[in-house]
Amino acid sequence: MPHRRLAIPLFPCAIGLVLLFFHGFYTAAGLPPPREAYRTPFAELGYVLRYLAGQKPDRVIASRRAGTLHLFSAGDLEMQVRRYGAAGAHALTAGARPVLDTLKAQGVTVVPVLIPTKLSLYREELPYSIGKRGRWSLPPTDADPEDPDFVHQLLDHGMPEAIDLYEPFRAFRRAYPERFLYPPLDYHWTSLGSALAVVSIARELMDRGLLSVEPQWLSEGRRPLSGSLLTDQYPLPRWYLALASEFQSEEEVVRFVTQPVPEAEDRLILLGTSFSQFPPEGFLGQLRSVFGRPMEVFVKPNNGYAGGFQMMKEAHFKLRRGDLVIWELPLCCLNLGDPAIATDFEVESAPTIQ
Amino acid sequence: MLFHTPEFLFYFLPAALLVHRLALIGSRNSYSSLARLCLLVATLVFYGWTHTWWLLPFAFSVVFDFGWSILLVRSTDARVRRLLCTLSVVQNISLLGYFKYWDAVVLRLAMWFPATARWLHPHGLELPPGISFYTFESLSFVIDVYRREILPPRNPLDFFSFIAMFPRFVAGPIVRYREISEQLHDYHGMRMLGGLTLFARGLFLKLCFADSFAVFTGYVSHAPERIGAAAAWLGTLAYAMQIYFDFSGYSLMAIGLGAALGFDFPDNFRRPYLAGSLQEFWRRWHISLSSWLRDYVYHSLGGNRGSRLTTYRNLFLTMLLGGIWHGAGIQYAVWGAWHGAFLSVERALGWHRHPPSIVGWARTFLVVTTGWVFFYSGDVKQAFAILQAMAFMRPGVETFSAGAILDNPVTTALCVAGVAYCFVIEPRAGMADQPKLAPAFREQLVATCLMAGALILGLSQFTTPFLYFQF
Repeated sequence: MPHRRLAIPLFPCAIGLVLLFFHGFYTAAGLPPPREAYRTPFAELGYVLRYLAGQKPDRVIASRRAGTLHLFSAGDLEMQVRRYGAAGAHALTAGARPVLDTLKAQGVTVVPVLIPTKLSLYREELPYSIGKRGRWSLPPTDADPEDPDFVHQLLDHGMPEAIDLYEPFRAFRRAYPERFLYPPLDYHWTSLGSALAVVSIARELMDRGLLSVEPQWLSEGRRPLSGSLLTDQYPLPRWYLALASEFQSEEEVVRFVTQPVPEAEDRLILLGTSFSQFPPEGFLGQLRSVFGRPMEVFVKPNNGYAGGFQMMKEAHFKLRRGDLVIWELPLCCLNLGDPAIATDFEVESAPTIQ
Repeated sequence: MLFHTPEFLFYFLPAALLVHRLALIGSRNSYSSLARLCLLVATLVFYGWTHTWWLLPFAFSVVFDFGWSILLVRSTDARVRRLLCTLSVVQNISLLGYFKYWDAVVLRLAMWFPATARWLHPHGLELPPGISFYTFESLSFVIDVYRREILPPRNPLDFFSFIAMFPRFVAGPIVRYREISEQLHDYHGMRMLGGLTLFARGLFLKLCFADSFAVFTGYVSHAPERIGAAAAWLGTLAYAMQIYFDFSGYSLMAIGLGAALGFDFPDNFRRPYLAGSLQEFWRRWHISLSSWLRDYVYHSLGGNRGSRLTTYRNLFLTMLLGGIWHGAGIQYAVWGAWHGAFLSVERALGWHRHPPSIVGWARTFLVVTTGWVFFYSGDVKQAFAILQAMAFMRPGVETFSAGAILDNPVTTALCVAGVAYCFVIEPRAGMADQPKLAPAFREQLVATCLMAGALILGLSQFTTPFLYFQF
């Protein structure tokens, strides 16, 4: 009688466990299972393993999002406007200028705000220094902290009404080197960084007669960095972010004395990016406190330039004479997409106050 | 639906296998009509999941080809039979031509002769995946009936379930009807354990090896005009490995799933990068396509029965056609011509008869790898830019950076493991490309590790679609 070898069902059991885990995980969490492979719990475990094995976080992000790693890319943490030059500034201005002028003629003030990159201020503080890899691995473009031609062209010629945050940020960094305007593992600013931005904007607008009350600074101690801030940069699961010591950094929390908001006051409109995503001690909440105006917020990550203006074209929204629009222009991942069309914006002819 | 997506792995595959198993209850050593129907429906769901209209050209192809085969059997007049076979060839080539080549030809004509743009318009339809594979299978069925090598089945469901097998539907292996018809009538049941073990290996090759190499391939293909020699070689070698693991991984998955359903599909790859000559390479690479081209094109042209020059011409034309089969771009034709020319040179110099040597291997590998440049380039101009860089004829505009390698220890380690697997582990371990009936505990352990590796390490990087889906 032929001997029949006993087959141990290890592999079928493993498959069963995988299926059970996948369906059980989402059933227990009450969430719909993801359709994208990179969002499965298995993939999230993979991110952790890759990270622990020494894969740079931005490479993890790149391998998840894009698939292609540019050998010379310094990654998300050091994103900056590069190679845009004066021509890039010219293109941006050409797209925006007609809108800015048209709105100004109708009584709506748009104030572009240039948000500096972390790389330009904290180059030596980055998790890994790209400047130390030797000349064979360091392309000259990454050696430039920023694109000065782009910034100068924009501020001096294209958009003179823009507010430059570079100088106040650099001055603060020199005066208080131990107080971080950007968290160590993210390129967005901390609560302190956004507070400094709000103060700088407020002072500039006071000089222009658009704001009458000086911001009153309330420092409220320190807090752990928010998870949302980190998960924006890391594809690591929240359970790992909560566990790993390197993600347990703190930031200074800053609030301002909240100004009363008169009912018929002109509005403050924010065309924001991911820099405005973290209320209440972030940029958005601080602006709300300082300006004492009713606020309308249009926030879109990745700096959707055209998108920002297009969002104001919602059917229920109309600009009014006297509105003040703050338009964030982070000098990283700047989108020089389709220009906005001036005639697309309808400004209510009858002002609500005056 | 792709094999590595959650919807396939965690929903479609378990459901399809379960329903198929239920449909087989009560039918011993026979493949019941219910099971055939179940397989057909599963394939229609699998294929029509993304776009339902993809089912239309498929239905058109198989219904007509089955009709031609029935008419061929009923007809005894040689001229009528030849006409019917020709009609089938024209129908299949037209179908393929319309979806695959029409737009490219129209756009090129409009570029050369602007007047044609007035009356020739591109259809703008996406190429239905797998159309090149199922038209070839369907066409070979009709030609075999014409040659009186097979008889068409009485039950059309037999033919439809032969064509519509979701494991190999979109990228092969290209199977002949005679290989499947015997299995349909002498069915031995599902071999899920052995099949899924093989599937796990294929999944690992695709997700962990192919997609890791893709990281480095992308660098060259995205900026071919800016790269230097080191980057050009790195990208080209990475592509050579990527396409091997991508396609052989897919083939293993298809063969494994076929076995899980109870069917044997032929091998599609046999360690091609170890070939000592180009002829041997083509006996090891995409075997089902090269044997199809040999049987239906090369032999039809006369094979090696004529003079030496005729043989070279036949070789060249067969490979040229094989290149064009891959796509409408001129670069595919150049790739086919490149292989055809070297096959002819090899035959003329008698290299294909030489015993295996390191020189022969290096020559073959160099020819194949250089050929891939045409294959992955967007156009011929890009291909020549990369070749120029590879030949050190263009000093690198950008210097090579080790940054991507140093910053990606996991991806780099997977690439190194891929090279070791291709040149050392696979040949020495003598890994079978066919599933075992009852894998031993050790093999199950390996399969479990491979599956875990694929799900954890493979899915945590960008997963590229199978390269052969576009053909």
